[in-house]
Amino acid sequence: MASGASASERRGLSDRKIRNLFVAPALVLLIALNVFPLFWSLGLSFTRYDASNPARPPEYVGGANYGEVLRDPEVFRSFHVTARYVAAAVAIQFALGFGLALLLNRPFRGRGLVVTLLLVPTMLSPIVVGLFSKLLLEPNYGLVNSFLGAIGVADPPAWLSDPSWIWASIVLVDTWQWTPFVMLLSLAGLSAIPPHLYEAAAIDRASAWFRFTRITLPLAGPLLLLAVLFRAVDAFKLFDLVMVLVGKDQALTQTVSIRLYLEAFASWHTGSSCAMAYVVLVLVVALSNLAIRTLDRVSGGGSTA
Amino acid sequence: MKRQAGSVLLLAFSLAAGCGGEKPGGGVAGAGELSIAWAQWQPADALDALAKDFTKETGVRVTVSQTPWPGYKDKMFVEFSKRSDRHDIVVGDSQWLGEGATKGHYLEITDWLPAHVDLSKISPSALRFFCEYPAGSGRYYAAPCETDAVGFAYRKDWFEDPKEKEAFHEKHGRELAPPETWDEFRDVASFFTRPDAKRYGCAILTGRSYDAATMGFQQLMWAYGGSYGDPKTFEVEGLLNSPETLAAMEFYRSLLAFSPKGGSNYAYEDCTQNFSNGLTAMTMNYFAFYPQMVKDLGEEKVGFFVVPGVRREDGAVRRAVSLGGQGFSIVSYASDAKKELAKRFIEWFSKKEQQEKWVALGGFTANDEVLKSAAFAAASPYNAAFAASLPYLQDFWAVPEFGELVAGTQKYFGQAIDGAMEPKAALDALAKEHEEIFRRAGYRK
Amino acid sequence: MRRGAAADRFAKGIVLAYLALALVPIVWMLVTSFKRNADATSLVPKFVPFGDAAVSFKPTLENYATVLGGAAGSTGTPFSRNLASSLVIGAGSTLLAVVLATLAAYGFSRFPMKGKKDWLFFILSTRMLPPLAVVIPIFLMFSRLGLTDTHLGLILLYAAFSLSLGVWLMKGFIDEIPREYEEAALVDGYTRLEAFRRVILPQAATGIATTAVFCLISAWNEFAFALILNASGATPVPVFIQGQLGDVRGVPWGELAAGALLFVLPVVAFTFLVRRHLLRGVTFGAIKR
Repeated sequence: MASGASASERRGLSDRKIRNLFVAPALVLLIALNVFPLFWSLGLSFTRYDASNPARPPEYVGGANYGEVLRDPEVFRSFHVTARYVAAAVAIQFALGFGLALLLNRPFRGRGLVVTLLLVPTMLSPIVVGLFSKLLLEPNYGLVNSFLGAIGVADPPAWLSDPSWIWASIVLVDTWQWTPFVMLLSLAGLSAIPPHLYEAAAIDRASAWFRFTRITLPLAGPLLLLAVLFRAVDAFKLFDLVMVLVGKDQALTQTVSIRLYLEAFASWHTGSSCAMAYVVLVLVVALSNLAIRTLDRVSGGGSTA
Repeated sequence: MKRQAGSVLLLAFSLAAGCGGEKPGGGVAGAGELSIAWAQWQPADALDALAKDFTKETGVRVTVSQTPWPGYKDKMFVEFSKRSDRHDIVVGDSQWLGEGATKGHYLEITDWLPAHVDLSKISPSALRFFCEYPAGSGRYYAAPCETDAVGFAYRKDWFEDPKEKEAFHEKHGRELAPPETWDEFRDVASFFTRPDAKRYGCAILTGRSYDAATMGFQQLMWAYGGSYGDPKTFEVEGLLNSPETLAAMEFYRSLLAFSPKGGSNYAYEDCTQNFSNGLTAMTMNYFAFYPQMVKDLGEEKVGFFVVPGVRREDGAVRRAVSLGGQGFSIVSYASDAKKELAKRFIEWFSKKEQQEKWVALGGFTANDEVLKSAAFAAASPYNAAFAASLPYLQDFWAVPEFGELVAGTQKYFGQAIDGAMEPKAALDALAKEHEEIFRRAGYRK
Repeated sequence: MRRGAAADRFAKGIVLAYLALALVPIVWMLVTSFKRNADATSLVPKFVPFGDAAVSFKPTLENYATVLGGAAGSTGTPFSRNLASSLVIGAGSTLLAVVLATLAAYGFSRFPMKGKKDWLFFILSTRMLPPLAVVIPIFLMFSRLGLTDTHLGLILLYAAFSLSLGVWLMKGFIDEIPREYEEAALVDGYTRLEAFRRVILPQAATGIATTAVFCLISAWNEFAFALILNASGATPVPVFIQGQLGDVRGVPWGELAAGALLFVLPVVAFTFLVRRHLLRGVTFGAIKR
């Protein structure tokens, strides 16, 4: 901390005071609205309480809620359903996104514009994305089925009501929205690979496969992993899209967030929904730990200095 | 200059931010305002129109706020949980009565109601199902607003088309007419199903949202001889998942072949929409949704008939019609002054003069006298069918655990209808879940 | 990596084909916004805005008029009111978040601190929180404090959620400003605060703008908390749109498309404004190109 004048000679507030003054407000807001509610939620998770019945106060029941939650078949189903969605969606988005990045990883006029245009879906609200998709996927007059009918498909499916197609539809829409995100990160990873490595490989007459597996993947890997982890963590938040496309009452698509909403605001099992929220939290913290460590490694640890 | 502009902006901004949401608009100064919440549908428009007379008489401004059905219950109960006085009267669905009463959201009007509304004129089923809680106790938490029943609408113009009539007669050896039994219904539905011409036979209630699938299917369950359980012992096993219910479910599923694509998840608005847009010949819905369809298609094109039944060996037709209806519940968190205003409104609404105007506007009165009058039958094209449905009304369980029970039926009926679960497995699972709910509530061991 | 010109053209072709396909939903919504509701749900898709064929429709501006006009919607209020709420909440939370984040980021960037790494980790982890995990206590808190159905409530909440994104982004930008600039100012006799105001802020202007855009977009698009906390008042657009889907008169697709497009326009515009920093924004400032 070099400075021309010594600390005692400098006018104004001391560095320490400024630092605390500057950092405090943000931390206060964060603690008030992120940390404090977590503790309150923890407390509630040990009670039987119905928030829509304010006359009856919470009743302490120990760990009973946790036991119920961990045994509840609906909760189990929601985790199962969410996990399958993550596996499918992330795999497809990874393949498509990385593929697009590979294609885009060369200079051409207008590339910047193309990349920005591609990213527009990612910036939109999932509610709006769901709205667009709902009209397109409408089984009788939607554009998708009209197109399929026109090219000769005999019986296009009822995308959002047929149990065999509902998840495919959701994954499709989610992919439309998030593939560009994976593409962006992959592109960043690819463009950071020093070209001289490829040139050296070419001189050694290395095969395309060799170049891909020994140079491209390892060096772009961490960013790809980061993209995958971000998407996995986001999966627990899948709520908006499902609400718009199929609603909260379709048993097949009741993801973790939808189940939480139903427990808390439809059935008003306030205590046990707090318990479920905590179980979800533990899982998400574990996953995000992984994400943050990877982030650290990728940015060289400099950003947390 | 820049600093001043900045501070003005900041000030303007904080003022805007400080503004809460919307409150009912200001009425005549001093006379007061009344805020009523209802679902988004034509009856609420009718209430709004009728309430203008109240404003003329008393100067009290009445606002009716409408929320589309799928999110209506959640929104109201969130308000209740905040002890919000945003609304003074909530026209709650009959099924919420238990929850609203036991959780203290609805004002108890046991003493007030008989003194200010002529209960002798009110149809007993209306009182029992959406005013009184618990059943048979004589305690009231809502005043009758609207009675309702499920019925069918059909394309009168298609049915009366001579070419169609001829073709149908040739195929089935009888007249093309509104069906009396479910088998006849299936014949008519299959007759009109022509996917290439984008025409289908029927739209039936199968939706996952709210209680659509349950209200639709239970009519068949009852007509076939199944039931939800024993009302005294709360026994469910063997009654809900009986062979009769299974047969009813198989039949209900078979009707989907005559529905448009996506028909396995038709909620109330879907059944309305997919009839008004010319896609189907017949649609199932609550009568309160029919004014909208008459408005969309015109009286010449729409006819109505009572829910079909099942013909028994002795030749009689066993029918069951899902009951509906809502009552005015006074929110217990409203101020005393507002509660008084609410009571005045309800009393005014229940008078015969207003009930007759209500009917003329398209509302469904609970007043027996008006219901049986010739004026009612002539007031709207669907009233005759509605009046004919009344003897067959049946209702779901009327207990506070209604929400959980219906979540179960929605889940399992829905999956059986979809084909996501085998019907037998679904019904068995449902029976088990209902018994568990009753056990936890203490109604059975 | 040397590739043939043909391979380049091929790659470009595939990308453009994907782009065209990806833009279809947005284009379709644009077209729908100019159709009357009946045309929007017609069994034969209509995409030609002139002529008399089955696939033709007569374009109209009435949807935009209705949407900006005043008919009450699913929230009981007109769309224009919900749009205004989104604007107030978006701008308010962004302002609050950016101010607090910039100050905090400066503190983290320039001064040593015990456990700094842990604090930064903590801030980042709040971003990973699934909103539904904290929604119940926040609902209870806001109910008691009378913050539900108000603009202020969501402004505070969204600001808190945007803080982690904001702090990380701003720290990244401030880290890039050479310390020598400030030190020069300090040598010249300015106080720390003055150095902050005269040196850092102007240099960080781009960063502040970028951070503001990402905070705005995140607040603009939020749905779950808005649904639970503000369903009855100060309701932002996403909740309005979702509610409209249950409309008993049939979903008013023409009007909804018009409303959705108006809602989406600022986001698209801002995406283009910050296109150079998109990567940094979506990865919370840790990855810079």
